[in-house]
Amino acid sequence: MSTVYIDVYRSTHWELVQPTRASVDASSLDAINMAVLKGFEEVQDEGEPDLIVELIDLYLEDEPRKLASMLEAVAEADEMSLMRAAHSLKGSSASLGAFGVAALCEELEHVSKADSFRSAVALLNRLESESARVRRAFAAERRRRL
Amino acid sequence: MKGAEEMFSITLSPIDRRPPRILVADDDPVIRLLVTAIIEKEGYTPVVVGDGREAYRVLQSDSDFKAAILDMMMPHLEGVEIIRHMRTEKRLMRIPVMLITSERDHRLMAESFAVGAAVFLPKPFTTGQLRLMLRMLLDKSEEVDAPLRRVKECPERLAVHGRG
Repeated sequence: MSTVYIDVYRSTHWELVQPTRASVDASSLDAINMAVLKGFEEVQDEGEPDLIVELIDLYLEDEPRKLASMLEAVAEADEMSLMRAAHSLKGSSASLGAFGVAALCEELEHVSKADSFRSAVALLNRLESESARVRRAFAAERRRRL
Repeated sequence: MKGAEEMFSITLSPIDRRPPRILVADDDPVIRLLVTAIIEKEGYTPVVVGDGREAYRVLQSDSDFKAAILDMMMPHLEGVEIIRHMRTEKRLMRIPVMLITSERDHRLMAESFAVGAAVFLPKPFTTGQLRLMLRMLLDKSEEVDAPLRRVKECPERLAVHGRG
C-alpha cells in the first residue's frame, strides 16, 4: 500500500464532533446528540430488529461494566486499566452521540499516577452523573422506538 | 448411440458467488454492531471477532477476506501487531487493512501505516465515512486483483465438456 489516505479524514466532520480535550463542563452539553443516532437509520434493514435499539441495548449493557472497571482501577491506582477502560467508553459513547461522557472519558484517559489520581475521583463523580443522564436519554429513545 | 443431452454436459465453472467476506475485529460490542450493519448493507459478509488474539487465530486458518477492519487498540493483540503478522505471510499480504482509531497518536498511526495499514477511520464515524473508507480500501486492492476480478465477474462463464 503506497497511497496515503490520512488526509481524507481531516476533511470529514471529525474536527466538529470530536470532544475537546480542555476541561469540559459536561452539564452544559446535551446528554446525547440524537442526530448521530439518526444517522444510522440509513443502514436499517426493513423487517429487521431496530438497529438503534440494538445499539442502545449494547451500550447500556456494556457501559456500567466499563464504569466499574474505572472505579476499580482508580482504587487500585492502576493507570493502564484506567486508561484502557476510559478509552473504550470514550469510543462507544462518542459513536452514539454521548459526547459529554466521551469528553470526560478522554480526560480520565490522561489522568496519571503522577498526580496520584487526585483528579480522577472528581472526574469519575462527574462521569457517573453524566452517565446517568445518558442512560435516561437512551432509555427514553428506546421506549420511543419500540 | 447416446442422446445429445448425454453427449454434452454444460456445467457452471466454479465461480464463487458468495458475498465477499470482511474480517472485523473490535473489542467494543457497539462498534462491532455498527461496522457489521454498515458493511452488510454494502453487500459484504462480516466475520466478526472480539479481540486481537481471536483475529490472529482466524487468520491462521482463513485468508479468504476481501479486507480487514481492525480496531487500533484491542486487548491481547493490537491492530498494528496483526498487520505486522499479516505482512509476513504471503496468503495474508494482499488483504488490505483499515484501522479504526480514536487516537490522535501520530506516532502510532505512522507506525501502523509503515507496516501496512491502508486507511484510518477515526471514531466517531458516520455510515458515510465508513463506506467511503471501505471503497477506497477496496479500490486499492482491486488494482492488485484486477485480472482475477475480471474472470470472476464474467457473468455466465460456461464450460462445455464433450463426451464420448
